[in-house]
Amino acid sequence: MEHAHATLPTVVHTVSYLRFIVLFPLLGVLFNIFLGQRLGRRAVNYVAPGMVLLSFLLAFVAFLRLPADGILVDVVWPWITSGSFQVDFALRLDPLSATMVLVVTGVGFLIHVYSAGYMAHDEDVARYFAYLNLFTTAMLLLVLGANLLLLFVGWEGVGLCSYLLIGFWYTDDEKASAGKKAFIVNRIGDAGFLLGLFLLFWSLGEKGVWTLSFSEIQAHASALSVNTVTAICLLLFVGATGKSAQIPLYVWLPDAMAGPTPVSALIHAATMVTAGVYLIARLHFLYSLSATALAVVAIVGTATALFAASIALVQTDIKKVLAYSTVSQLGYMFLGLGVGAYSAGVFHLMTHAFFKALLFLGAGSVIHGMSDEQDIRKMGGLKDKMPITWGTFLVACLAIAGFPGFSGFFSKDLILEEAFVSEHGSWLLWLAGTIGAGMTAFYMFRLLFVTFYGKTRASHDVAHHIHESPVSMTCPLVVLAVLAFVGGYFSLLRFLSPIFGEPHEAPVPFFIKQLPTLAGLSGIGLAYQMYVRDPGMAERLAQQFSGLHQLLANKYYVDEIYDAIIVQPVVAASNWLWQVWDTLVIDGTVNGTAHTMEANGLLLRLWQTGNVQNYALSFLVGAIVILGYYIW
Amino acid sequence: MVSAIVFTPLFAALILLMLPPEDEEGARRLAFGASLLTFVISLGLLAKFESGTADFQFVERFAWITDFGIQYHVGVDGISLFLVLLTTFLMPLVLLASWDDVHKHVKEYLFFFLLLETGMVGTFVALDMFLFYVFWEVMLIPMYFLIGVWGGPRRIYAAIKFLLYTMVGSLLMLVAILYLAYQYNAQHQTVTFDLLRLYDLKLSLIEQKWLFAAFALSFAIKVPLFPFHTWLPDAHVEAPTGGSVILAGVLLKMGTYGFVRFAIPLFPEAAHAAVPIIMALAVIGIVYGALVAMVQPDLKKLVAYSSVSHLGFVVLGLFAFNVQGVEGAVYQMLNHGLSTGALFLLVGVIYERRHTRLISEYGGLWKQVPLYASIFMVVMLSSIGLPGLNGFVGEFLILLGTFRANPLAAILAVSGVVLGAVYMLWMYQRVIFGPITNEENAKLVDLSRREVMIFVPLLAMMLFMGLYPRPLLTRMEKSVEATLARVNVLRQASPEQSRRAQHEQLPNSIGATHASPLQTAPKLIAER
Amino acid sequence: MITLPPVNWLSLLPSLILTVAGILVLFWDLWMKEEERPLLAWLGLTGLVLTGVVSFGLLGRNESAFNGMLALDSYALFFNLIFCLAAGMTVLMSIDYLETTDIRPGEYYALILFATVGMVLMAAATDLIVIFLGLETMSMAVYVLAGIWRQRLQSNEAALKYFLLGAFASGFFLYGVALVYGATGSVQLGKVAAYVSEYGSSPLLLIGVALLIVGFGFKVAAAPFHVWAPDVYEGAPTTVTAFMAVGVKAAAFAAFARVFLHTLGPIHAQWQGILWILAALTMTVGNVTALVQTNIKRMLAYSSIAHAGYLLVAMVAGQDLGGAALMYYLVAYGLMNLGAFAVVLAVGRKGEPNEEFSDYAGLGFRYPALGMAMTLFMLSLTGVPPLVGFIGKFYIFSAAVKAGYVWLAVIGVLNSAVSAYYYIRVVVNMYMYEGEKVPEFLSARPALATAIILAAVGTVLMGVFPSASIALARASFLSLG
Repeated sequence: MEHAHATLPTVVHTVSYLRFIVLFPLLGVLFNIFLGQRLGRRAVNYVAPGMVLLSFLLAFVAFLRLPADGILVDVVWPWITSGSFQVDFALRLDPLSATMVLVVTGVGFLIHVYSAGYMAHDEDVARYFAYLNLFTTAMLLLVLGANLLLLFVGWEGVGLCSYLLIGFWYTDDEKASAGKKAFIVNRIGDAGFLLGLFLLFWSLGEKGVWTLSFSEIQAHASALSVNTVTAICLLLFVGATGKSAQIPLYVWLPDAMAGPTPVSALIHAATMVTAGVYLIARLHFLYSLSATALAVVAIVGTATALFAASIALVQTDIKKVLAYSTVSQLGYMFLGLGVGAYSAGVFHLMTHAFFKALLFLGAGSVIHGMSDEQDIRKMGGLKDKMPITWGTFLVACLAIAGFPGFSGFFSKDLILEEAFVSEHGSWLLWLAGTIGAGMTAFYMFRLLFVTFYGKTRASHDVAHHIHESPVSMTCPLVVLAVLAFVGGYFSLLRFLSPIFGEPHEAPVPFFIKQLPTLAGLSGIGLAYQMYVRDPGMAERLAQQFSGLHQLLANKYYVDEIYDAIIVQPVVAASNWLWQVWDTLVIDGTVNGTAHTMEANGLLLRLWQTGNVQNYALSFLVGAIVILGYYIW
Repeated sequence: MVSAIVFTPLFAALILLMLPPEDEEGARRLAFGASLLTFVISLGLLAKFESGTADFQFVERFAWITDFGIQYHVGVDGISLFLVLLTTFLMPLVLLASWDDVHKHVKEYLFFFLLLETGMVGTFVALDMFLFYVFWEVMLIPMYFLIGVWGGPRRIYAAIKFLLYTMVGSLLMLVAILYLAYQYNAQHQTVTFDLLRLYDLKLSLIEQKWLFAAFALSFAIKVPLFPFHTWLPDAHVEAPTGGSVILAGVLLKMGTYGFVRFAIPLFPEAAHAAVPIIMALAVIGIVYGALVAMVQPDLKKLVAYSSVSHLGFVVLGLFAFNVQGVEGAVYQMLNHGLSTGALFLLVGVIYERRHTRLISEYGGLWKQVPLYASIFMVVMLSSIGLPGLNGFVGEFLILLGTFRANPLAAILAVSGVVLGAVYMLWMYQRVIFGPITNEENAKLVDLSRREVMIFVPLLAMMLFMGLYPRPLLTRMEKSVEATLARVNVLRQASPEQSRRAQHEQLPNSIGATHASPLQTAPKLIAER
Repeated sequence: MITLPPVNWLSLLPSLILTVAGILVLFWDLWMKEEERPLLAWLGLTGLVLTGVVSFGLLGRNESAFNGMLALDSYALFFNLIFCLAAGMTVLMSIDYLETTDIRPGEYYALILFATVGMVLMAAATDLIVIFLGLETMSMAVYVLAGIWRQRLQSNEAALKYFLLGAFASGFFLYGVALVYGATGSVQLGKVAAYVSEYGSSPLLLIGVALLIVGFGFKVAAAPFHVWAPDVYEGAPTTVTAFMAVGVKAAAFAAFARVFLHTLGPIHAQWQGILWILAALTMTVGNVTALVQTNIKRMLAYSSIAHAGYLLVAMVAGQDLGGAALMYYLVAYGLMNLGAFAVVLAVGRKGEPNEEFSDYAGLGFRYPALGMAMTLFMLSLTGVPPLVGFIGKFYIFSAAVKAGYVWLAVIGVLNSAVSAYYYIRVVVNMYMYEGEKVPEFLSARPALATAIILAAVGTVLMGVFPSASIALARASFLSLG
């Protein structure tokens, strides 16, 4: 499925209603901040999801009215003007952003609804929904922004909301730290993003084009030299690795699970973390110009996919498993982008949004039912007590494992096929992806089996309380389960063709096409063997390969390594700079000057003996010196 | 109108002296009213300002010390306009903030504040070097008193350090100013301290370098640029809240303003020659300030070092010598005034309640004072340059401009953006998040109505400047371009030729001085 | 019958008024009642004011008398104003001060007036011998004044030291005059000037010049001839110290500048190097030593040395601007320094001089007006705009920069920065420390208060609106031709 180089984009239709898609959730934010506390839980529970629903409906209308030959643009106001740098606050709807907007508002709405149930016992619900609405606003800005800078506004905005929501339960220091970590790691990526943006702006400027708008960048991208494009793409990709949790900046995402579970579903699975994927898809015309950049994207994506999957194999926290799974799946999306199969990447983004949101919400339902227990070793046998959760969770597992007919099957296989046949692909990438697919199936079904099958391992108290979640929570589960199943049949490839060009099928060898599916099925089989038929087997294996098991269980010690080689040295250096350099050296010099002055003063005071003979002598010496000056 | 802004506070200060000492409430009302009035008058400037020209507007000029050709000459352009507004905007807020804060020698406290305002506004509007110097120094004394009398335990050390540090710099600048005036005398047979005329001065490169060094030292101390910054943490920590706010909000801008108004356009070639050094110092300041801020145990010190970092950005932008860099720098001056001013006010709020500024004393405040915590959050985000808030626009433009001028500097500076998030978030976490560990904090009360009134205008400005910077940027544009034209015309041709060219275009009559370089230096020159 | 040669009495008018006033004071003192004695001050003051008014009225005249030995020019008249200011303020300050001492008003006021006569002569003298006469007239009076508080040992010591070293310096001066005479054949400045501009310098002349520098250097307290000053200033009664710091210094500079800037102007290159070094040394020694003082009077003594250094900078700069700067600066210095001394007096009480820095703790808030005045004087001495001290420094450094002595100006401003530290310390004590020792009650003394107010108003007004006084100083210096 190579993309033909289409002559893009076509006609710009100026409209003025796109802004309301962004505005509705923003109104929700204001409502929650100023009236939420006063009007109470009920009002908040209706208004917050309601605003997102309005956005969704409006977006849907806009989507229907999206002309076949062009894009919709809404220029709200001229934003920053400085010399030749001029950026408008402008929104743009095209097939790509339309896909994203629908996913964001659609899944977002479901998760808002789910949250109303999930947060039913939390007293700070207005604040929660204010953040969640704000997140939606920022995310919509990100995907609708018509230029790179506005995208960046949303980009940082979602980072902020992620920070706020991870640390939502702020009294827990660990959660607050996780939020901070997310923000900072994202900022590191953003630094790369900014530099890429600068380079892009000035490089185009040198060609006489002063712009950051996507359309114009696309129109003039070919004027740039390949090396420049490579540098721009790689810098922007640094940003993407931060936001989309790729090596080496993925470390924040597993910790981000500290936030409320619906947040993990919405932000850290379905929407925000895909922003990096969206960015590269948005700028595909640049990446297409640089084989190097694409290769880096593909390799990093694949490496992340495998790496994260291997960690997920042994995690025991239900959300951690899902978190590493997310990292891994994002890797697949980058693999797709990296081999030039942009629509495949975006396709997987969409299906992943459905099934991963479902998985997280299912996990949330489990945690809710288990009185906030997250350790799967203390679960088991939930199948009968939480049938809806179990059923929908199973659908999601099948989808992510790539079981034929489910959504993941279509999107993941498409990526792997492209990895093999694309001119940017390689059999190595395919092979790695296929192995990863097997691992994915294994760890997902391990999770399913350990959680829902067998006998319960919970304490008596907890076991007694296990119950199915309320309707507000199960309802979104069912809707998402449907989507996770049928998501694969939405033909995104054709819909996205105005952006990425017409897909044209290349013949794929039979076993290349079937092997990933086979790998998935074997993964499921292995999990069944290890966790249902012979429950002791996993334990035995872990003891046999204890070194490896430890390494995986401790996530390759990456956090520890970062701490030792980056965090600690920086803190030590800062302390040194402050206490030695600032206080001793600089201030020492300053105070030293003062003290020297004073010492000189004391010294000069000795001149003042009070003895008149000495004075006369000093007088005489002075006179002689002056006379000497003239005589010699 | 400009003079009214300059002297209303002084006038009020003199009236204040005549009030009976026990009438503290009356004194507060008078001072607050005067500062509010000043602000209202300054809004008139904004309303009547014409953005299409780089000329100085609202110019007032008459002879002052005739023997030296010294004039009382004031006016504003797109650069100083907003700095004046920043000053007059912050002043009522600061006075409001210290309403319940200061109980010792209230009348004198207010007197010095009003005097300070006169000094600050005067410095921004002065167009005569002598007048500028007078205001520049006048500003020192009230601030010195504010720190020394109403400050913390080490206030005397801090106050004297502040005074001597700044004085050393400014006195050398005085010699440089004199040199300029007499050089002008040698060339034109008339003594003048008029800035606009001194712009025409022909100076050899070596002269420029010496003079630039003298000016730059004075401004670098004020900014403060690394390694001249050590007075700042001490001054901030010891100063009373209001003093800190004004110090960070306005006084630090004097240095950067001095660069853009005096040091750079007066000595363009030397400024070009100094770019590597200054950029290096700015970048070191950005990273250094951020790193040191990170490990501060004291809230005010942390904010003080963050100022070192932020002001580093401003200097970096100025020395990028392109429209984006300089506009960003001017914008960032305003941002820093708002956000750091607000940060100091916020620190003041809890200091007033707990009488400690140690971060370790706090924790878990959100639970107790959610409104405070939320405002703190927004201010912090503004300070770390979150898009949508004011800080971003300035920081972005600066980095954009710097990247053009020197990519390496931009890359290093960007790391300052990352570190900025690190120290701020860490501080915020330790103060606001977590469980309440200290019993004292469980008794804190949230913001009073008066305190909310202080922060609302600040937050409103942060949002406005983040979302709609255009009204500000367009008003700055011509003035920034004119300044850049002075600098960059020279880069185009050989120094000698361009000097002559520039000179021919600049008639000696003062009124028309400014239009011409603009026409000859189209926008692209600054871009290229 | 001896016929009087034609005498231009007008040129003697200022000194005559003063002399008559002095004599009247002496005589009236003989038969007035003890409690009426303070009235003598008002008599003296009247004489001084009259002299000032007359001098002011005569400004613009340019006449010569006694065969070119005395001049009635604006230059001299301008200095007369400074002397009258110094002496007048001293008298105002003394009225209450004397009551706290054992000094007898009669001879005290008379001596002040006679010293002023000497000063007036020095400023007007256009003959080296007359300068010497003036110098000695002034000095004799001041030697006595320094020791006039006979009961106080320090006062005696001060007088003795001053006298011994003064005699020593006079010797140098006189020998210098002799050598100049030997070299040029005249002691009349006009003729010396004519000689110098025609033949330039000669070794003999230069040695004479060097000795003159030593002599003047002593009187203005320039390093290394300053050593007497701190001891004498500290020991002498405070009012006398103020008088010496301002009046004597101004008189010495009046003659110094007339001889060097005007008469020896043509060989400026031959003496500016020495003065350059003296200026730098004096400023630095004065300021740096002042840093470590803890007694305000002594600090002011060192400060006055430092200010002599700034004045020497004006001498080095030379030309019209330097001369005018010198004159302006003396006025400025006089105002703020006398003001400072007046405050010192106001804080002191009988048997309790309160001259330590720590005695000023908390003063500022307890006595707002007094604190504010002292703050003004200290800031002005530091050179903070828009006070008169700043304008003065600005003027001097202008002259230096214009004449090309940029580095000397740099040394000067750095010294100013150093001086900020000790001046500000007074302010620190007044406002930033809580005071225990501040007297509960300072009696309202109208004369002293007047002096302080005059000085403060002058310090501010002449700083904010310096134009007129600058023009006057300039015109006066230009009258030298």
